[in-house]
Amino acid sequence: MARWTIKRSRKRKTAGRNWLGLPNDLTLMIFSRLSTVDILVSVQQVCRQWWSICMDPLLWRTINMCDLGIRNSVDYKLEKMCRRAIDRSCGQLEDISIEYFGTDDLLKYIIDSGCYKLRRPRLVQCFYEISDKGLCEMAEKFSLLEELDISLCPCVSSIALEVIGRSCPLLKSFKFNNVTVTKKHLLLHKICPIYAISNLLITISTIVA
Amino acid sequence: MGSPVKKIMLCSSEKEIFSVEEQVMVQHSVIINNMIEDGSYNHEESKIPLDCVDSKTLKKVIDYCTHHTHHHNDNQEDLEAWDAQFLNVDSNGLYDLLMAANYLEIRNLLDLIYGTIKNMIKGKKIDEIRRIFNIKDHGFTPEEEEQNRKEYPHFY
Repeated sequence: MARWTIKRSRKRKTAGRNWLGLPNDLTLMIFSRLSTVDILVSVQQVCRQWWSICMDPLLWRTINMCDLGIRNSVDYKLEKMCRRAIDRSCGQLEDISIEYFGTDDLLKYIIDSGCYKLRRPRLVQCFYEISDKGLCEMAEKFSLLEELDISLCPCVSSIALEVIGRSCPLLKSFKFNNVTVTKKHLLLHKICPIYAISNLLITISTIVA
Repeated sequence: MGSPVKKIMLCSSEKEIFSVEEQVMVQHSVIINNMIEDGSYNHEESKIPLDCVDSKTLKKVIDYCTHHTHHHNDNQEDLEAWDAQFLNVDSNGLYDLLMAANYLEIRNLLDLIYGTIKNMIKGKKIDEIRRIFNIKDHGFTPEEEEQNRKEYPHFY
């Protein structure tokens, strides 16, 4: 009997732990810290159990597709991946961070998917694909936005800023920079409620008279 | 002379007894805080049995709570360096710490461990992740696995 106990305890010490035995909610907490790309291209293919955890809409309340580094290449079909992630959120989406590949179409897709819980969209460096039209539509549909970052989206003008200012009274943080904003636009902004936002960051490199 | 520091007894799965400052555990562990608050811990005779935590892991958990109680005013950089050193363990050690932190509900330690495990997965290929976490039976049918490998050959 004693020998059996020793043998058993020694075996437990040297054996690898069974990570699949972790409670699913702990595994979910770990996955929720990973980027959307990591989950879609590798984590969910690791095993069937992780696959089903990756189907949980709770995991998709945050979609993070920024700072992709070397992975930010055309091979990854980022917009397609992003749409798949939006589908999986089943309308639970609250935060979305997109760099480079955001388009008006994608914003429309978020609206059509009924993500009415959206609070913090971050659409940075989406150079010419996000326009006033897409943003106005988003601001009108999602009036509960709390933070908005549209840095380096040069097609966005004071038209969208005014609609955002009017439609989203809960906005606390707004980041925007645009080299083509003119002095006339700045005057327009002054009458726009967007100026009441506490964390307002409008960087204008060159003010065109 | 100040009043003596109040201690509580924790008992590991090997029945080894650890005597720890009460304040240290109360501050970090939701479960122990509740036990002290609701009076279910008797300082004269109680020992808190932690049947799923071995001595080696329990010692580390106590080290973590003690350090973070006495050094919470240190600058952020020093604390982060200490944490990184603290979690410099193999994957088995990390698993045991995760289970212990979850059982005792030590939220800041849980966050730290989640972040560390995240970094072990981030940017890795599928086969590599399976190796790191010792996942031998992935549970996919041979056909599903073959199709995944065909579809995403460079992710394996």
